[in-house]
Amino acid sequence: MSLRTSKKDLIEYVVTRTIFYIATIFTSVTLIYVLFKFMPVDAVENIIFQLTSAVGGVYDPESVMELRRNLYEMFGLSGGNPIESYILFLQRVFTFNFGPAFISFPTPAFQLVLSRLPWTIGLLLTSTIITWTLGNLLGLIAGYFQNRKFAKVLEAVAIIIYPIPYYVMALILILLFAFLIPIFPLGGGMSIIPEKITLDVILNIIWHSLLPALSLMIPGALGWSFISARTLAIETLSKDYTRYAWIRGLPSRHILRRYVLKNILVPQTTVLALSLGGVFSGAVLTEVIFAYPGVGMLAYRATFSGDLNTLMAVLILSIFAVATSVFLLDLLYPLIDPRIKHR
Amino acid sequence: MDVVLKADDLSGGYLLVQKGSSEKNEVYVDAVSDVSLQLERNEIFGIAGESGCGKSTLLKMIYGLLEPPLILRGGSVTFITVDGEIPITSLSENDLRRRVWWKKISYIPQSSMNVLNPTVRIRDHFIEMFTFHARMTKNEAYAEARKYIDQMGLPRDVLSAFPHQLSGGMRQRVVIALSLLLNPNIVLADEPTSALDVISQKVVLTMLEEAQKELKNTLVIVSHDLGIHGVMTHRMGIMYAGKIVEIGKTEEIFEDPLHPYSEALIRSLPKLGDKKQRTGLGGHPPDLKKPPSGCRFHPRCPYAMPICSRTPPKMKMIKPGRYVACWKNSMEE
Amino acid sequence: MKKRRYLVSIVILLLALPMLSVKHNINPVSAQLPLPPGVPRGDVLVVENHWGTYIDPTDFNFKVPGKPATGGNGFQQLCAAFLWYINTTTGKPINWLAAGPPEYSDDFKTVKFYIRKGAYWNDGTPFTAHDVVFTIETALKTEEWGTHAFAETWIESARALDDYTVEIHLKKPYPRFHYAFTVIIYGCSWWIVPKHIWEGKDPVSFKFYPPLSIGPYNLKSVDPAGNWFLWEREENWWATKLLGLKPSPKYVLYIHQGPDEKKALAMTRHELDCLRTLLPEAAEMVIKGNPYIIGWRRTAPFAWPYDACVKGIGFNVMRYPYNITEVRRALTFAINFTNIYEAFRGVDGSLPSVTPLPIVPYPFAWKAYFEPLKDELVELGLDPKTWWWKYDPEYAEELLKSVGFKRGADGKWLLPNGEPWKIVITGPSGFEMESARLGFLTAEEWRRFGIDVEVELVEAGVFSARNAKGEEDVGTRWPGCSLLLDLTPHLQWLCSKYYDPLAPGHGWNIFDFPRREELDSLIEEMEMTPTTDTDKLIELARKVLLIWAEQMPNICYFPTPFYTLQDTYVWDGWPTYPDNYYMDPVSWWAQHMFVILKLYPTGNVPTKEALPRPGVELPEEKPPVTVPEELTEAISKLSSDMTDVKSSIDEVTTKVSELSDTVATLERKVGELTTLSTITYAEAAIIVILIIGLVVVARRK
Repeated sequence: MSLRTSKKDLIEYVVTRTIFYIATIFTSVTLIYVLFKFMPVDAVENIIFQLTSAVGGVYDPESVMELRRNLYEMFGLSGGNPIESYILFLQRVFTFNFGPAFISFPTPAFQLVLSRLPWTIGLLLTSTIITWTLGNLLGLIAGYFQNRKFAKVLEAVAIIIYPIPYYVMALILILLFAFLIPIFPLGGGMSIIPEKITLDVILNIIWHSLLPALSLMIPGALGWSFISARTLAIETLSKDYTRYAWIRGLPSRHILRRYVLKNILVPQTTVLALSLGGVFSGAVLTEVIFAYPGVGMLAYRATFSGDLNTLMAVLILSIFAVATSVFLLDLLYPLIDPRIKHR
Repeated sequence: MDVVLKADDLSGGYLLVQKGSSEKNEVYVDAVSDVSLQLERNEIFGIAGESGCGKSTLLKMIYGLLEPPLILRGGSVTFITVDGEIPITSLSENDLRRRVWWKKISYIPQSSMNVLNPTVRIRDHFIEMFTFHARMTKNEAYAEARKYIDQMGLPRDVLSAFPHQLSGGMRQRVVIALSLLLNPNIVLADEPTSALDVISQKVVLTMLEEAQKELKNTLVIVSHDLGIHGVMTHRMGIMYAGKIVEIGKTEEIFEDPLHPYSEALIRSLPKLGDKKQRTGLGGHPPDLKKPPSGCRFHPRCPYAMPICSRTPPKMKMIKPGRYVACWKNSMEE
Repeated sequence: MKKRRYLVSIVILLLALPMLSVKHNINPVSAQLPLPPGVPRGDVLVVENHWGTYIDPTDFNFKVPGKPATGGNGFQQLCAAFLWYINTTTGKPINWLAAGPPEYSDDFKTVKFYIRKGAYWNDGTPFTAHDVVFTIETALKTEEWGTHAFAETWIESARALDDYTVEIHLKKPYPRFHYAFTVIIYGCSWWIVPKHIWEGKDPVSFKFYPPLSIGPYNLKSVDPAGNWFLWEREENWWATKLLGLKPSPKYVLYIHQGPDEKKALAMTRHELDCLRTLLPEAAEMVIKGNPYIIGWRRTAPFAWPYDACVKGIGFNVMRYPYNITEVRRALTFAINFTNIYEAFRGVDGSLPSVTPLPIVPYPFAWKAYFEPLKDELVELGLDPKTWWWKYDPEYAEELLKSVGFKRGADGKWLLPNGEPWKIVITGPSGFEMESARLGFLTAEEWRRFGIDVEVELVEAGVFSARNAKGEEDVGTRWPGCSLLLDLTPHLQWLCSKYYDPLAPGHGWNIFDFPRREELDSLIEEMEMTPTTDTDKLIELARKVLLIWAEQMPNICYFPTPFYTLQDTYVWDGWPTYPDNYYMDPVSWWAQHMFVILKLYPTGNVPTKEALPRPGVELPEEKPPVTVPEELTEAISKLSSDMTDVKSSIDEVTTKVSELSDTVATLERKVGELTTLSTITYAEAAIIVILIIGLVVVARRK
């Protein structure tokens, strides 16, 4: 029996995964294309609506008709052969050229997305990682000390917090910590005039992002992440190999780490990878409530204005991000779970 | 007799709370009932019996592994060392883990296929034992593990493998190696060969036997397969429905089984050259929640007498080292 | 063992870090506002950024369409160059950068703009006719500019006769050409660009940042996240020299705090001085929580009733059966208006201003249009007591039956072909909540009448597309917007020549009915009448309105009340009706500049560079205001109990004002205490964490 995995097997594995990766991206991109064709939103009409009805502005109707035609041309929204435009679309997507953003013409849509990305990544990356880590740790402890009082209290807290709708949780936090006890600001990205990057500026940005981060972390770390980690921990604790470690007289700390944690890490890493992939799409609800200037807010604005280019940029970027993180995860799996590496 | 462990009137079983009923319905499964036996140093002792007769439970109780719903109902288990006696049944689990488990007594659980951590290499299993029980550093532990693997006759590249890469037989050998690591006085093996093919069985048993010969420890083998008892054990105990019914030298029991149950077991073994049809016992083992009154074997015993259903027979010494619990044998006195 | 201790200490540090950032920012009232260091709250006017988060806050090239609003960041209020403004209280123009009204040739194909002498950009460069000509020429050349369409349609050429005279040649006669250069409702896309800045730049990609201002403030800084914009007073403003005007606040901050709840919280804490509107629940929170709040009136009711658009229900006359006039009129008479009206009564007693016609019932419009047409309107079905269409379900039933509608066995209405009648009302979701509410209320009325009605709320992008393409039965639309006495620009869309096949809208332009030709010719006559001939315009408009009322292409209810709340804690001098009615409280319109010019500090918070009471009047008279009797009667009849409420509110208000001094001192004390307590909270938290950490570390041993 060969205990060594052949290089051939590994290469085969990598190639298979790569094919899946490309296929996933291709399919999703095509789906988006089809979806956009059916979207009942018209960027041009929206702009005209904003100019005229939304504020009641006075416009000479003849020029409005003329403007309408101008805009259709400007945004490249007038008809065309579907096959041709599909190929053109593919070309543009793979060169990350999404055209100009309608809501910020003529800034390229991709550039617009990139400029908001740091805010989103900063907020979501940290809160995702902290949620995952904290949730797993708490879940592990609560699972191990299943019958102790504090574990039961934690479980009860999690069950109460888990079903609270996100919007309510965010508002509660705002009410508590931005209004009644005004420690945090009501919203926004920063409130210092950023002449240069100083420690003050950085601290200010952190201060502004704490409430939105908290609103994401509490339902996560005390909600889903905790509950799933705890369930997994309890399951692993009842496995034969864990009992055998106990029988062998190994200390409980060691068992927790090596036998329980290590074994729940595999499924939880999948969860982490997928959540990280989702970071790029931004947390729309969070960003809107906290007026946080990230990609989610951008997507929100783009959807309402019918800015297809910007919306496409956000969507494609997030597809790439999720597909890539799954791909990377697939490649990393053998390193985490030896059962997969050595088939 | 140089006794290393004795069990006195040991009783234990499973306290089950039946759900679904409005009152708390507690049912007790009498798995080990008034068992008394003694284990000698430097011997291989076998415990034989059908599935469900309580032999695994007995083993766990000897080890002191009282996992709920298993409870100790009565009696005691005492471990005798050069420094004195250690009352297994009265020690707390923490004390057992620190002082007794693995160092003095080790335990090989049933279905050892899955007892190895799938995400940890074999060598790390060994290293952690050394690190925690012998307080070695990681490097020292690794060197020791390598030496030990060689000693055990296992191939070197087993160390860097993961459990799932090994065959069932190889895994079993690793588990056995682990159990002998700290050179305990007693090794308890619960069905070490079930779920293995015949070749692997031979390999495993050989390994156990050779280790016992060299280390001169006490090896307790629990198995329903009398064949194993025949080739391996020096002495054995027959267990039926939670009770020990016969104890003695393996050879003697095979030659001349005294208890009707032992008789039936031995008679059912195939003999080379004997083409006669084997006869089995009628009926099936009793429900340990409501064991039969008197002698638990009486419903199936071809020699049953009225007294058998009324009073449980006591263990009687027929000659030194030979015990039987049966009215028929007492009568023949 | 060592590892554990490190871990514990790292955890303690991580927890302590946010506490550090928190402690750093504790600071009373102005804690949450992005002010430069050392600037007291009393120097800053905080206005709501009604648009929201600006995607690219450094992009001030609003000539290219699709960009965020010019009224959310202060650009049109404080910075942009406009030739004329309309005073909302009179409907009359204010000459600003134009020296006087435009001069048209007799054939209305040539027009002269006279530029005010002595005006200059805030960098000192004089504002001249050359800037105007440059703006026009760039618009003609640049297809991507929104104003290009207008320029292409009307302008032949433009030139500067001298530094202060612009002569424009039009392609076709257009007596209203100058309206495009006037701030009427909200803003104006023909703001003049400084030639010396824009010359040589690509007019599409040039961001115009920081924008060169000609208004009383210059852009000081923007939030890179796009939520706030800070403007600093220009000390050498041209209008100070020429007109003696100088605003009191040293800084103006336009800030977006979040959804309505957050705005309300901010206003209650005196961190927002004025805003556009709030949903009634949030408004209630502010009115109850902040005793310094005023609105359109100094005392309740606070709502501003003259939002520029009349909200209501629009019928898509391209769809059956809404193309039948009797059906539309029947649906109107099936509505019990009192139900709809009362639903908009605010908690402070605010009521909407009723109008049966598609024009806003400003007092001056009331006198010119509503009163004189009363008799004819009554004949068409107006109820003179409510000043809305009468609630007459029997008549409605008659009308429907006369065109073949029947009642089914269950009492529900059936179409002439026997199918059950189902109406789907499209409404806005997530914005214009009041319109959505009107949709629901109307649905209720029609359901009671026996029709199956469903309300479908859709997002902005879908809402606008559906209307434009005519893909709905009925929608909560508001095509009736008006401000000027000259109703031509507000009513001309009714003419059939404005049919756009790309966006047919509700199809009114191709709708045929007996008086279609008459309507078209009336409108064309209005278009050719000069704006100075007010009497003729009023006469023609009255006729158009009557034809409109006959046909009822949409049901107009009222402009929904806007809770334009203003906080008098830091600033006062706000326009209030009727005592200080120099402008309407439209903080998101360009005209708000005139309000800012009238504000002065109250002294409740310390100031540094804010000027005390500014003394000079605006460059035109305050209009006399009379409230028409009919309106007063109607209002008092509909809300007889309001006087009781009002008197008790008055009592409370006087008590409140008596206590306000004590409150102010108490507030200051509380503020100090809160600061202290917040600091102590933070410190206590740090100490607790440290203790826990120490205990954990100790137990490890």
